[in-house]
Amino acid sequence: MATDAGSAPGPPPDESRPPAPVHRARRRWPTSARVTVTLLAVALVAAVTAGALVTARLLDTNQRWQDSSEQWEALAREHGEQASEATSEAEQLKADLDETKRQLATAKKRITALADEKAKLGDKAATSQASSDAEARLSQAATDVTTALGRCVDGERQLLTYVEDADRYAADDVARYRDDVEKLCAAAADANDALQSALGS
Amino acid sequence: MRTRTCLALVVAGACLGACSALPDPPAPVPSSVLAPVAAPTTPADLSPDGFDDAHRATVRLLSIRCGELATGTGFAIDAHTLVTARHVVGDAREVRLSTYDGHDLTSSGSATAPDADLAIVSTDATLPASLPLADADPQVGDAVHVIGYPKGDALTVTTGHVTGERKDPLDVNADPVLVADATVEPGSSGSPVLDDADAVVGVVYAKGTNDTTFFVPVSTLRAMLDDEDSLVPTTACD
Repeated sequence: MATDAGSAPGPPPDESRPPAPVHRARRRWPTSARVTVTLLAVALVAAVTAGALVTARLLDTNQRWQDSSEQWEALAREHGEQASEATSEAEQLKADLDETKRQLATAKKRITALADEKAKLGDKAATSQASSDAEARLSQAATDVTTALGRCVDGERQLLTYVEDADRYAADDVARYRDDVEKLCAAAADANDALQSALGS
Repeated sequence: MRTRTCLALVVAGACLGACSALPDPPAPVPSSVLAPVAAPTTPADLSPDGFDDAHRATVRLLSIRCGELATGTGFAIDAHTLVTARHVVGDAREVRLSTYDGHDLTSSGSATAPDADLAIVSTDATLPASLPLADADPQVGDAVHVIGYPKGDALTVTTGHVTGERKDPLDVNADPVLVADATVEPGSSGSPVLDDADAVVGVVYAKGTNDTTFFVPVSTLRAMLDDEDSLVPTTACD
């Protein structure tokens, strides 16, 4: 067994003394691990912080959208009511317009019928006027015939007295008077022909 | 110190990134989203009483001759001039006019065309409406409408198509006349023959067999109107 020849042997170990604590060697993490852990911790803190901020923003945005949605819904309901009222009003106006159109068509038919009735009355009046004019013309013609015939008869009577007492009158005067009487009677005959023609038409 | 800086940068970056992914806040809600409503307008050519110009411009004529009365139709081409058929107003001692709504008008004179069954009648009063003349004669197959007072009755519209062109069988028109299958009656003479745009394409002057209508084309009417010196003033019967 080999020993250390240069040193005196030490006292024998005291068996009664407790053994001195043994200092265990501290085990240190590698630097890379520490860096990783640090970064992870930082990342975790950052993520938590960012998450909190984002969540707050998200909640705020959500609230705004909800408010906006409620406002849009209210607006939509308002416009819906307006549309409903407008539709109802339009339907009523359309019904009124249809009724007005029917009334207008009836009025136009009535106007046309009245115009026709008035025109027919005008025709009757014109016909009556024409008949009246014709009757007046006939009456006048008859009067003219009567007058002409009367003058013709008077002339013939006068001529007869002249002829019966021919010695008292010049023959030329009697002949001239006869011609005049013949003209009167011819005119009376013409007037009578005209009257007969008018009566026949 | 360095770690804190990194942490702040990371947090800021994360926040920015996350926030940029979020939707933007909603835009303000408008008070109304209704489209502006156009103001109502009134057509410029709206009839004042519901009757169209074809009705308003068509006039009933009562021709009083010596010993007889006859009815016919005329239509306004301006405020004081009517067109009708020559045989409606020829030899008339008096021509009485009445409108679609029963108003009476006074004729201030008439004149007839020498070689067509056409005439014009002047009025003192302003006519309710007038009809435009078409630029050209209608073609065979074209739709036509005849508005008038058949038999002197109420104002009536009949429709048909142009069926042909031929020499006047009555020999009262020097130029060829047109034939349509629209129904007319005595009293329709002088009625305007209208196209789909209510422009005058002819003037009725006779009724044929099988409900055919003979009418003077608008080209002849234009020729008459362009040569007013050739018109002969109407002379009344004795």
